[in-house]
Amino acid sequence: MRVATPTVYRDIQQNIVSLYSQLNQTQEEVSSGKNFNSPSDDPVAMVNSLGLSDTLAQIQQYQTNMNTANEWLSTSNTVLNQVSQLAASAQQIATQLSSGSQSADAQTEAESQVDDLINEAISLGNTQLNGNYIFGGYKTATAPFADSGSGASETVVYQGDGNDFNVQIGPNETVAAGKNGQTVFMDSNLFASLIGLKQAIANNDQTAVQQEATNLQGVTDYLNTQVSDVGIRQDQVQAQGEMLTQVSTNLQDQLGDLENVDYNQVILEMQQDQTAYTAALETAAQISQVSLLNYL
Amino acid sequence: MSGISSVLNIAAGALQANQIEMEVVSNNIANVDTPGYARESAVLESNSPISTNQLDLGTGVQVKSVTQAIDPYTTQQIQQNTSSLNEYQTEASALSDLESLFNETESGTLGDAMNNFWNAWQNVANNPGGTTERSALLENGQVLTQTFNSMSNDLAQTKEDMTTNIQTGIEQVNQLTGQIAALNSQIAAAQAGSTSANDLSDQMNNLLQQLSSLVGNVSVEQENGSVTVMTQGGLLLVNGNQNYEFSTQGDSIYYNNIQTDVSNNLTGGQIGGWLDIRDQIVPQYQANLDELAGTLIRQVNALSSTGYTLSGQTGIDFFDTSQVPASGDNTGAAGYIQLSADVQNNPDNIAAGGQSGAPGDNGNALKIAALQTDDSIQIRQWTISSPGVTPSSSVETTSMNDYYQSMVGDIGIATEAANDNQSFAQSTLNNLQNVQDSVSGVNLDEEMTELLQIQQAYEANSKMITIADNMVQSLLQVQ
Repeated sequence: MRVATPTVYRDIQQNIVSLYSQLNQTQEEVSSGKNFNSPSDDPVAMVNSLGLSDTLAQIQQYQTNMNTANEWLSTSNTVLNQVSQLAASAQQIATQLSSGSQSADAQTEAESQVDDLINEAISLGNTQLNGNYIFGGYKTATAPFADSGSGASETVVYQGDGNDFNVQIGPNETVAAGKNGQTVFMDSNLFASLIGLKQAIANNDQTAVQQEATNLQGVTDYLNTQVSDVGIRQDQVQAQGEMLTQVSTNLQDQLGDLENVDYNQVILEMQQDQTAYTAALETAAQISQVSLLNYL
Repeated sequence: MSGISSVLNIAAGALQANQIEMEVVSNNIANVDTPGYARESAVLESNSPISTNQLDLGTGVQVKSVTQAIDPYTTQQIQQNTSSLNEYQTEASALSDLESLFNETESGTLGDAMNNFWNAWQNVANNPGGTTERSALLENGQVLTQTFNSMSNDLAQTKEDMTTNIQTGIEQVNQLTGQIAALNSQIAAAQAGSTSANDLSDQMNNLLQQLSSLVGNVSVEQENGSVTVMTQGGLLLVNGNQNYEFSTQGDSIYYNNIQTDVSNNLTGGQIGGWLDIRDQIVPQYQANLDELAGTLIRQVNALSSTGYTLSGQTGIDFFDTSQVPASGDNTGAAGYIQLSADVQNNPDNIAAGGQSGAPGDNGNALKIAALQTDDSIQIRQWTISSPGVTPSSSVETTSMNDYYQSMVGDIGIATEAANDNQSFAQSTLNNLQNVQDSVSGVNLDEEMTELLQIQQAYEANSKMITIADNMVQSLLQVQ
């Protein structure tokens, strides 16, 4: 084919421009460390990496949620253990009293001990975490348990509601991080038994004291099942946490494979591009020296 | 006439022809870099012989004509491809601007804003009575709505920019068609007077080339050398010395003062590209962004209004509904999405409660946070196949995040395709230009060789004159 003089220059010019743009692209990859810097660089990889990043962000949020769940559960665990011990000591008092007649002093002493236990139990039931009453159901701003009346009409009333506090720990998984005070305390008959014991001691009613000792055993058993229930939920959260950590590690690996450049390869590509670019520049310099004009 | 004087005449005529040849070559050399210049060559012809004493004797040489080396087919092809290249170039550059709106490799994007919004709901669910968590949700909601608003604005701005470009482009088209019409008269006159119109036809090619880069067109050369130009859609632009102008009013383009929009008749070239961006590409992304924003408003509000605020109120919307039509139409939603007046500046009014205003009730917050991963949401997806075509839509069952991700993927694919089309059109055009150059382009080495040839002929002819002169001198010396 006949080649016109401007064709030569135009071809060289276009080659230099396109090689430079290629070099620029690989340089951008090297300097950013990313395989793609805009959606059009690799739309499919971009959408995949967006999906992975979204899932990672969700997992991070679930991990935050799990911290909340763990705080609630471990506080519940501690409190319930203490309440269970408290019920056990009340039972001990009852057992001692029912073993034979006691002095008036010992009776008064025991009555006041039980009274202290009642107050302690109420105070444990009103445990707060970050300003929230954790045994009040949804009514986290109001103390759920209150002592009402005195003497024969004394009761402990529950002012919370029957809802549990749920925390989301996975896409379709929630855990009851806080069980309401009705389920945990009222249904155990803890307060009724303690008050019953106090009144039986005050009335010096040996049979009633014995009855309450039996009742308190039931209370302790009930509370222990609550403690182990909390333990099960703690295990559930922990298992989910380990699972999410593993998934998250996998996803990060995948995301890294997708997004991060393979430096060995990209730097090699960049060197190749540089060589091609330099060669094109040298050709341009050479070509202008070759002309018939030089020999006339 | 014969003998020595005839020799002198032949030599003189040849010198004249050589000078004309030299002139043509030097013109070629001078125009080596002139765009659109077609190589010229002098066509030599031997003069008619004269019969003397039954001998047919030649009478020398003359330049019959100066012709251009032109490949009309390639020239047409180049014009067509110039239109395509400019259309793709325009699209590619506008798309890469648009792409930056959706560039999720950077921060502060809609994807980030959506994730932060959903996470803020989770945090409210973790502590429904907490003012900090509620305020953070409002802040994240604000960022999300503002991101939607600014993307919507940017898309609208792109459309306006395109309209401005189109208006400028149309003015240039009018100017060019005017010049072509004027040139048509000159060419017709030159051809009628049988003078060569080579330079005029170079100019014509240049003008047609410029017109092609603005808008796709078809040109046909008439017998008198003038050119008739039409758009690819069949609107007559130039006929003889008459050109037909466009005018613009707002988004509309009028032809020959007829008040009917002819935008869809204009394809190819920069104007075709601008029209594609304005009437097809941007409206499609706008429509889908609106669907996403509209769906978000409806989904969140549907739950929000059944929930309870801290003060126990129910029926409170999270997003403002004053501009949301009752029908499923989401047009403009990305532009108008904002927090409702009820929740704005009043974090207690976020309906996090599922059954009461109790501070620990997170029932509704959990439900709203779960919308993030709900992949059974129905969202309409719009497609505009070409400018002026009624948008079509299908209903996708997906999650809002996935819907957005596929939007990002779409714009990436569109930009990639426009870039590929551009490089393909560019390399096609380069090849065509090389083909055209191989016919019409000037090669300096070739011209120099020709110059040497002419120079030698010139020297030989001069020698003839000297020799003839010597012969005359010899005769005169005979005494």
